[in-house]
Amino acid sequence: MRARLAGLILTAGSVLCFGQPKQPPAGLGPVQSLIDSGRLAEARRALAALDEPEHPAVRFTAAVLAYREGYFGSALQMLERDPSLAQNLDARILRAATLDALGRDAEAERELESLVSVPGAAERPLLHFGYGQLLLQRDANEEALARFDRAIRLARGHADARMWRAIALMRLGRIKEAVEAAESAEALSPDSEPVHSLLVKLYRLSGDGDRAARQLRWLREHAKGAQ
Amino acid sequence: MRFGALVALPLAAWAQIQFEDVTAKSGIGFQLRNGAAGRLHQVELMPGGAAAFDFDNDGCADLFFTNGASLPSLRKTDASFHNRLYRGHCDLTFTDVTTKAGLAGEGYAMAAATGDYDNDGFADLFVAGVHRNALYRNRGDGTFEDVTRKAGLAPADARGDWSISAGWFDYDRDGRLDLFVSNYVRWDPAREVPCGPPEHRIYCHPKWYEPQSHRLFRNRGDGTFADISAAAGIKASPGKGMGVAFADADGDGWPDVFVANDSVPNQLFRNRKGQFEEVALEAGVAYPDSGKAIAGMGCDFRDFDNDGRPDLAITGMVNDAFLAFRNLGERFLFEDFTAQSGLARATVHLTGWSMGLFDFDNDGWKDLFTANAHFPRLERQLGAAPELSNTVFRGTGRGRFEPGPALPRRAFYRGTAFADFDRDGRVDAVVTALNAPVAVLRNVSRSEAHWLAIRLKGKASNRQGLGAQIKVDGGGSLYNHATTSVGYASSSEAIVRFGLGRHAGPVRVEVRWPSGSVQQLGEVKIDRVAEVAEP
Repeated sequence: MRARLAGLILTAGSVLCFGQPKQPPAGLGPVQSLIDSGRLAEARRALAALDEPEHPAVRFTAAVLAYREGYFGSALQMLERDPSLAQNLDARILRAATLDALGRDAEAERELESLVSVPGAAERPLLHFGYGQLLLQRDANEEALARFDRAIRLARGHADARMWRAIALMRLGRIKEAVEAAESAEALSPDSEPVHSLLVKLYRLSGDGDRAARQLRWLREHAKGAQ
Repeated sequence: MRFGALVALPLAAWAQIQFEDVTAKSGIGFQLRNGAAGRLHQVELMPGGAAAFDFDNDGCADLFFTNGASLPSLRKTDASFHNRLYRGHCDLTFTDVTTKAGLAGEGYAMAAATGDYDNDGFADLFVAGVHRNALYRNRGDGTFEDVTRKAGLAPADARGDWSISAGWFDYDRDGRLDLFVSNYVRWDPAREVPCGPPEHRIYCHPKWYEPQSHRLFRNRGDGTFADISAAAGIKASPGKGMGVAFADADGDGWPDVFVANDSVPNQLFRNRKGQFEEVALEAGVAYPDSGKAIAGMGCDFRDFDNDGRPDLAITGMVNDAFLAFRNLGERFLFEDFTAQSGLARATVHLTGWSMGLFDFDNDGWKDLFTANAHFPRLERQLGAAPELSNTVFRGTGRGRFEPGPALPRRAFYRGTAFADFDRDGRVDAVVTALNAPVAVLRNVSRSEAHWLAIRLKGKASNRQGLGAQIKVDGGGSLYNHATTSVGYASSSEAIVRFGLGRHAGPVRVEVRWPSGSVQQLGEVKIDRVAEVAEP
């Protein structure tokens, strides 16, 4: 199972603003660091040893950890069982990403649609990026393009948003613009296989066999290097 | 001209494709056993295939099922592990004739592929499996002879390939069917890697296993086969092969090969006069537009938009969506049509295994049937039980699909065999399920639509005409081609079917035989199985 909106979940440590009168337990910070560094088994052990397992920030961190471990079903249960998380912006973003990972894209889309107009959320480029991907899935290419444009305005260095913008343009038949968008993604992320793979297709669609061949060579060399 | 105008019946007439579960009265008691005993061996996930073919030429489609074995021995230690052959009676009832036929088999079987490799008029059977494949020659008297060793298809060593699917096609157009075997990963039961936390082990991701090269066996015409995988350009591109399908994607008369791979890029072997070049990246079918490999499972390589060019449909895992690639025709390029087709939203929550593109409601547009199941032991990941219902997606025209009602019974579905088992002109389906009864599904879609089925008899071409491309004209054009290699680990009838909608008159038929000859037939009567012999 792949989590398409995984990028929405920036870091466990970036999302703890619960307005709780009580501070989260002191050991939570190291747990978040472990999650962010991918040391998930250690994070789970450290989380289990915390003193205040019922604190909303701890419960939220547990949901992030479950998500990162790929236990999307468990993560969703945690989020939906806890009323204190229901209105929290970050918990809602996590919920949308989790629904998406479970293939419940219509629900994920509804959640993202409602989130993009929420103050504080509307300025998050990843939210627009994720929403754009879901829109593309239902062939709403114009709307998706607008979301990717917004994400890029908010984060000009967002290579993935530029790549997906290129895909939206390609599906709209705007091949020349799609090539430009994909090339801008390549400039930002020169080692991205998906970008090179997209460029093969776009160059072939635009009849530029030489450039397509160069991209193919890169992909084949890169694949050999990865073996 | 497309067939769309011709078949523009009121929507209500085509409202639903419906199947009735007739397993209980079918006489099929077979249950696919994977031999699971708690050790979570990777092979347990993958069986098993089904085949629909008329082994006795009585005009009724018969059924063959592959079956697992004990683990880790990979031996069929009792009759519950036997492969099974059922003789069909043309009414969706069947009789078990395994023993007489001599097809109980040995080892851990995965896939079935049917084809008349010796051109004697009786379809033969290849059974792919774990470290052991088998070729059974149909003697024509209801029995089969295991000719694996004689044919040169026995593995060179005891740790042979793990083959998941196979298919027959005439790659060199010499009139004899050759064999393509889709291989998965290197696997040894003694070296199974533990995956997941100790308190809840799960089956491992395929990334923990090395890929394998597929194999191409050339039919020498004397009952033996030559492994030409290296010389033909197949061996150089290892994969993690699942389903395999054949079609002449570039219209040059030479059949190309598509392999759906598990979590690595798909492969498209372009046939250049008998030499293959792997071109999936160039053709745009290695990945969806995202550039990320999916967990490819089953595939079908057929024209789903009636433009005369074969397209591709591929099942995958939850959050992959089942892919649809539309053949653009120019420059040997496909477009990722998954979102436009409607399959992205309709399938992103599913995990699919075998499948097939058939016109179940005979309205002129091919529909998509998928056999579904998430991987077992993923309840924590999924938040739900992993057993699923099968699904059918109705083709609404020009490559678009809409989901139909979920079919009865949830299970761990795997292989599919498609044929018109009761000869009513509607394609039925039989689906295997891990450690559960098969599902025998009678197509009971309400429809006054007309149809035509064509049974080919090759002369210069292979006897079954596999690879022949057929165009049917009756005010519009429909396209299909002869193949038995459909879905995942499975094989379907060789008869080529067309739904004609409300076109009640005769049709014109054009057959492009693999030999290169083109046959035109005018005024072909419909609502029947027409026999077409190569001149």
